[in-house]
Amino acid sequence: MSALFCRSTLRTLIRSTYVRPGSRRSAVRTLSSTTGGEPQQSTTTEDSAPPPPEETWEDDMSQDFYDIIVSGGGMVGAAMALALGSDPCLMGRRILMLDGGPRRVLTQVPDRFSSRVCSLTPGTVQLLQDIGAWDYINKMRVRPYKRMQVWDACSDAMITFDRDDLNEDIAHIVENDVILSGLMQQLDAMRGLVDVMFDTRVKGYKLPSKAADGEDSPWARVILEDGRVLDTRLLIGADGPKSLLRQTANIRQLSWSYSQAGVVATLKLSEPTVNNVAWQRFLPTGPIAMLPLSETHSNLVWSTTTEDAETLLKMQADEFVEAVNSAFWQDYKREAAVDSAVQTVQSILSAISPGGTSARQLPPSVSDVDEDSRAMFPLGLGHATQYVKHRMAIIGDAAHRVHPMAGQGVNLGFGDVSCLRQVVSEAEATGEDIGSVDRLLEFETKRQQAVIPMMAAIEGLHRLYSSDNPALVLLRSVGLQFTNAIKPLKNEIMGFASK
Amino acid sequence: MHPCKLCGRMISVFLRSNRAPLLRLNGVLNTTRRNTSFSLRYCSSTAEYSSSESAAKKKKTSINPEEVKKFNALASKWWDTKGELKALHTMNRLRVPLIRDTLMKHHSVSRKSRPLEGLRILDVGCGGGILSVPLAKLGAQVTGLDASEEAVKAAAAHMAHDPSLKDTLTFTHGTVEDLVASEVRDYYDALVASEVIEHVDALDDFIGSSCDLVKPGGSLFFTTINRTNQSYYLAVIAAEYIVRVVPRGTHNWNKFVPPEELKEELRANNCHPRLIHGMSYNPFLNHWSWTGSTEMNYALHAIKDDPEATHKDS
Repeated sequence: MSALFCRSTLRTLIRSTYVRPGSRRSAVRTLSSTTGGEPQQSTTTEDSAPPPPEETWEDDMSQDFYDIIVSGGGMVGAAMALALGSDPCLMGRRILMLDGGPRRVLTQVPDRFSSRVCSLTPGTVQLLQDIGAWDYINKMRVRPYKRMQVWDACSDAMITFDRDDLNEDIAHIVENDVILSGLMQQLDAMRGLVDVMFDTRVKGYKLPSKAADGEDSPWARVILEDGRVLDTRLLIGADGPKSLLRQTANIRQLSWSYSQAGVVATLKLSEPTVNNVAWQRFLPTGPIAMLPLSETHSNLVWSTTTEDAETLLKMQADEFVEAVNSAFWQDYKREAAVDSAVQTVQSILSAISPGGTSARQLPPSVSDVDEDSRAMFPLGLGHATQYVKHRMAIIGDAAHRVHPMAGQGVNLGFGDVSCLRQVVSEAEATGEDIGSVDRLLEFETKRQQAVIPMMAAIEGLHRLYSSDNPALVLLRSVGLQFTNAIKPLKNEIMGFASK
Repeated sequence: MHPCKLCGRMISVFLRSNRAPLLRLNGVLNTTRRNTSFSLRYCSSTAEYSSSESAAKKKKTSINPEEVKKFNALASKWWDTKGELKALHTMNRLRVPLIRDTLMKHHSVSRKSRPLEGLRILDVGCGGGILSVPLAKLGAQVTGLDASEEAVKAAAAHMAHDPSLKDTLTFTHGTVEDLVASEVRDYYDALVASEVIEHVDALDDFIGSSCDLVKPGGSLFFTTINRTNQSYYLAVIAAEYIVRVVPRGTHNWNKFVPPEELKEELRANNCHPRLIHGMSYNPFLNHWSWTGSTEMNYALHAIKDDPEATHKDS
């Protein structure tokens, strides 16, 4: 898997196979066959759109020059701008964040929860603290959780994660609006260190070739829809899964679309509880998760088939609540052989280490769903074959998109922010060209080492759990039981997932 | 200019075999002062080019476009980080932190952004500006000095696009002797001569002039190659005769400078060596690292005596 994504291998493969545009599909098949055949129920596509038609921008003269421009003012883009603006080595550098939308600050926290939430790992919280946004976020609304329970719908196998007897938080559930508002407030506080342009749409980008000493401008150029032209040493694209910068740079993206959709909603619990556990159950149609928001509310993230998702969205509130409850409680098709094997393993494990496996807890039952909180979005996996080129880098969803089951998407994006900040800061500290691809490749290598295993793990889990084949159920159940019993292995997994 | 593959730089031909050509060269330089000012004017006009189109177009016509192209091409050669000068680019990862940290400590600077602001640095034998540019980016007021007019023009062409270097970096065509002759003394906070002294004939004159240019209490940084059996076999025999990556005769082993000799010359000019460190280059990884051994390449830092400070101390 990692070899598939590996920059050099992949580029060689792509270069050698993508000669004629007509042969693209077959080239992609060649690629996926190296990983063991076409994935079931998913289609492999290569969605790098042809680069936008070359316009003659030669005559436009730059109207302003920035050391770094971050294109995209979402959570990852705003965090990037703040991280650069607060770095001591970059003090006095001109940094600009471009946002196509308006400034999104919550003047007061709404009573109702938004159904778009993120699970922020300790690594992400650390970053947000470093850039000064966490205090704002924490003052608004966050919900830490101390335990996570994951179990299988087709057997009794389960695994729990917690830190040192529930003393420490595993992660924080925070609404996207709250995160964004905290970042915007900190951007206001850092006015002067970071320039921000809201409601500013980008018409196109122009990237220089590596040999930059011709007569043309050696800088990366941003052309805005209002006609303004900006030059920069380093252009960072945080412009989402359909990144225009990625397309302009001609970076290919490998993408899978599972014919699946995620359904989100805000759930009201039947009775108030401590609510500090995140629950996830693997159903044959996809994982369903309940994440704590408060003592009375939880957030639902339910990945399922597109048809089921559409049905769930159209249901009456009471029908929907019943569907959610039964998804967490209902017994699915069981195989007696699997059940007895799982029980045997369980008794052996508890004989070996009686206190080693935590007791099963039951998820709270749901009594209502917030009006208008239900929404669905298509699920897909995407990975750019390169994250950097001369004078540019892409971060967050522009570079990689994962299945939401592990709550890792935005955390990987924040990981990009920490890493790129460090690389740029080191380059600046030695007087190097911060846009030089030689330095930026360090960022790409480090991040691919983190992102690719995570994507592989999530993809593997997705494949493993989207089946009710008894052999697979047995394999994953016993595997889960052993993983649950081996503390060091569990800590390893938690460490991996909490960066 | 000869490309010197081993130490990786273009060697400007200002190697002088005896005093007579030196005097002649000085004479030429005096008459080419106009050329020097031309190169400076050239550099400022191209800088304006990036900011104001109309002004640049007007000025651009006063410059031979073929010349501009030529120096742009030359600049690309100097600034190709994967090209024949790549070892000089990666050497920056050692020498820039060495110069930065030493000067920060010496001048008690703690800020991390533009830490060298307010310091005047002379980069002797600057070539295309591979070391001058990062030092200027760290805030220093840098003068790049090179005896090759072509190198100086290439350096100016490279930096012309960068608005942040307009006020902090200048390139001058000339030698240290010229500067001393034009009464520039006790002026620079630091002088850097990186990969230069192994190409100089009269080391005593070069060091003497260099020390004259630095303020009392100022710093001198050198990086060069030692005269040892190891450097003879690796730098001369292997590189020029066996692997033939360097044209024969590029390096004259007899001109390589043992650290003792350099220290001796510095002390004779009231400069005191403070630090010496070996540098080792891995040509396969294009990676430099510090090492305890000064058998091959080494870096040296010295401080010029400050009579007033010494007086205060005593």
